[in-house]
Amino acid sequence: MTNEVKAIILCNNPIAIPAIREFLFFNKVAAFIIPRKNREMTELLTEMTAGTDAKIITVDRKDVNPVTIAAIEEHGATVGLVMTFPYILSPALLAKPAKGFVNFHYGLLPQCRGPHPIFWHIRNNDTEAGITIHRMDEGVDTGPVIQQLKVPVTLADTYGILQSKLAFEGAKAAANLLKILSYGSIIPAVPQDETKAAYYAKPQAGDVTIQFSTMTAETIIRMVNACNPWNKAAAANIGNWRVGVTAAEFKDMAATPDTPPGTIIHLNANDGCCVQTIDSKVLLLSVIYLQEGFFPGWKLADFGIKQGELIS
Amino acid sequence: MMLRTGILMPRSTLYPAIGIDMLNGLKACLQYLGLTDSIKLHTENIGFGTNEQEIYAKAEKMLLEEDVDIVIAVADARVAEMLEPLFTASNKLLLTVNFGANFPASWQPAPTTITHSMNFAFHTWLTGKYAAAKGYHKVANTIGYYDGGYSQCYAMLNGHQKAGGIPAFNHVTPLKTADFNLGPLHDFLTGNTDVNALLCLFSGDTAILFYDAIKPIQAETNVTLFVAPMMLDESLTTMPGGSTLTLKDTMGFCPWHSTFNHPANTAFVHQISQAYHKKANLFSLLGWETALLLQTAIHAFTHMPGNAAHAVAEMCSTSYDSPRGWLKIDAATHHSYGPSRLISATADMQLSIVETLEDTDSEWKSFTGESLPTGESSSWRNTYLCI
Repeated sequence: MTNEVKAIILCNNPIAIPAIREFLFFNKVAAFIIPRKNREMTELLTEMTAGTDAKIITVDRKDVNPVTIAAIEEHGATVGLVMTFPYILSPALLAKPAKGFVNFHYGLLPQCRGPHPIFWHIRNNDTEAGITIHRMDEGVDTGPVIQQLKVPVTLADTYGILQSKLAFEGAKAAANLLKILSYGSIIPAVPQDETKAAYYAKPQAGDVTIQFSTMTAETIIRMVNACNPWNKAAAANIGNWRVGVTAAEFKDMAATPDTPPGTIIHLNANDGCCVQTIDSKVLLLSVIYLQEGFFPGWKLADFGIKQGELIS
Repeated sequence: MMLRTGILMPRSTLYPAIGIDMLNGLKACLQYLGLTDSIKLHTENIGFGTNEQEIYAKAEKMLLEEDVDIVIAVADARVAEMLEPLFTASNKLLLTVNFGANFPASWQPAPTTITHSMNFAFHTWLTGKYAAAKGYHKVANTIGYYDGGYSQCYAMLNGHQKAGGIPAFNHVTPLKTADFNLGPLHDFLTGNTDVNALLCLFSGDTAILFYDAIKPIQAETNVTLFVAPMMLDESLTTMPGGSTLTLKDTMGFCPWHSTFNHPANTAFVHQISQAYHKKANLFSLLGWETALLLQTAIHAFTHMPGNAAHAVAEMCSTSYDSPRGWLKIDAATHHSYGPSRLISATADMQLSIVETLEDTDSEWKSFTGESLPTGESSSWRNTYLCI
C-alpha cells in the first residue's frame, strides 16, 4: 500500500472544520466534495483553501458518485474521508481510493449509529459521547473502528456545546489518523460488536416533545439541551398553544404536595417560570421560544398564562 | 510462558545513561523476581522520541514480524496516542513508560494501553497546591526554556491557582548557558517584597545554573523555592558543578528518594548496586517498576494467551510493592501512580522527607478530573529528559 496521503474530503457541517485543518495544514487534501445546496460550507472552505492545491467540488444526490470517482482519478486522491455527509456512497466509489474511505462519526459506535448521534447521546441520558473514526463499508456506520475518543456528557451540555467539544476531539483524531495513514503498512481497525449496535434515525416530532406526565426533571433538561440550538427548543403544550423550551434547569425549591406534574407553580420575575415534575422536582424554564421570539420563561405571563396552569 | 517483549528505548545527551539505567533496572528486577527466563526482550532505539515515522514503523514491525505480546515504549503521551489504534486492533499490550511530565490528550484509556510514569506533572501540581496552602499565595513562576515546554509547567501553576494562589510574575530563562539570566526575576522580587516564594521548574544542568544564580537573590530576598521533582534528583550532585550545590528553603513533592525506608526500596537499591555497581536512580526505578508490571502481565498472558485487554484488567486490579512504597494502576485512566513525599533540601543537597502523602487516591482523582487545557498551545516534541 502506498503511503502517499492525499485525501478527498466529503463534508457538510462546520463540525468537521478542526479535523479538516489538520489535513490542510500538512497539504494532504486533494479535493473537497460538498453538497451543492450547502453554500455556507462552500464559502467557508473556499476561504480556508486559498493558496493551497485543494479543489472544491459541489455535488447533489444524483451525481455524487460519478463526480467523486472522477475527482479521485483526476486529483490522485489515495484516501476518502467522510465528515458528516448526507448522500449514500456507492460500492464502486468506496473501493476507489487505494486506502479506502474513513468516516468521522461524531458519536460512539456501535451503540449510536445514524445521522444525529449528538442529539441522541444527550437525549438518551448517556454519560459519554465521543468521536469514532472507522473504515467505511456498505452499511451505515458499520465499518471496523480505527479509533474512538470519548468525552463525558454533563447536564450542562447542550447540543451546541457537545458539538464544539467533539469538533475539538475530531482534530485530535484527524491528527492521529494522518500519522497512521502516513506511517503504517496497514490501517488498524477492530470490527464493531454487533450485539451492542443500535441505530437512531433523524429525530421526529415525538422525540423533541416534552411529556411532563411521564418524564423526570433530568430527562426533560436533557431533551431541552439536545434541541438547543439546532431545533431552537423542545416542544411543549399549554392548552392548545405550542411553546418551545430552549433552556431549563433544576430550581432549588421544594415541590408542592398533591400537585400534578406539569403544573406551573410560580410565574413571576423573581422566581421565574417554575414547573413541577413527576419526580417531585421543580424545573425552572429559563428560556422559552415562541413565534414572537426568545424570552425569559416568566414572560409567559405577558401572554396570558397564569400560575397553576398545566404544561403538558 | 515466555513473554515476547519489545522495547522502544530512548537516548539522551542530558542524561546519557537513561536507556541503560532503565534496562538495568528492568533486568535487575526480573532477576530479583526469578523471571529472567520468562521474558524474551527485543530492543530498538528510538532516539529522542521525535521521529514518529520511525517509532511507528518499529512498533508495527515488532507486532507483525517479531510477534511480540507486549511493547514497552519509553516515550511521551503523544507517541502513545499515535500507537494506540495499532495495539487495540491487534489486541497487544502497549506499556508506555515515561516521566509523566506531559498530560495525555485525554485521560480516557485505550483498552490495551497502560502508562507507567513518575507522575512529574502530578507532583508539580501537588507542590503548587502546597505552596498556596502554606500561605504563599502570591508567587513568581520561574522556568527553564526547556522544562517549560511540558505540561508539568501548567500543572504547577494550575495546582497553585486551584488552592487560591496568584502568579504575580512569569520568568523564562533562555536555553543557552551563556544566556542564562535571573536578572528580571531579581528586579521583580526586589520591587515586590510581598512576593516571597518561587515556583521553579528546571532539570539537569539548568537546575544547577539556577541554584547557583538564585543563591544571592535568596540571600537578599529570603524567597522560598517550591521546586519540580528533577530539581531534587540526587544525580544533580554528580553533574558538572553539582557537587558544590548549596540550597536553602527548597522543597517539592517527589515520587521517590533512594533513602526511603521501605523493604522494597532497600531491595531495589541493593540489587542495582550489587549487579551494576551503580547508585539506584529514577531511571533504574522506572525500569524496576516496569518489571513489576510485567510480572502481572506474564501471569495474565499465561492464563489467557494473546488477550491484552484481559492483561490490562488484571494489571489494573493488582497492587505492586514498589520502592516508592506502593504502586497501582488507575482503572479509570490506565495510568500508574503511588505515594508522594514532600522533600526538603538542606544546604549541602542533603534531602529529607518533610511530609508523606501516603494516600494519594483522592488527589490523583482530583488531578485527573481537572479539565485539560484546550486551545492553541506549544510544547516540545521529544520525550521529557531525552534531549
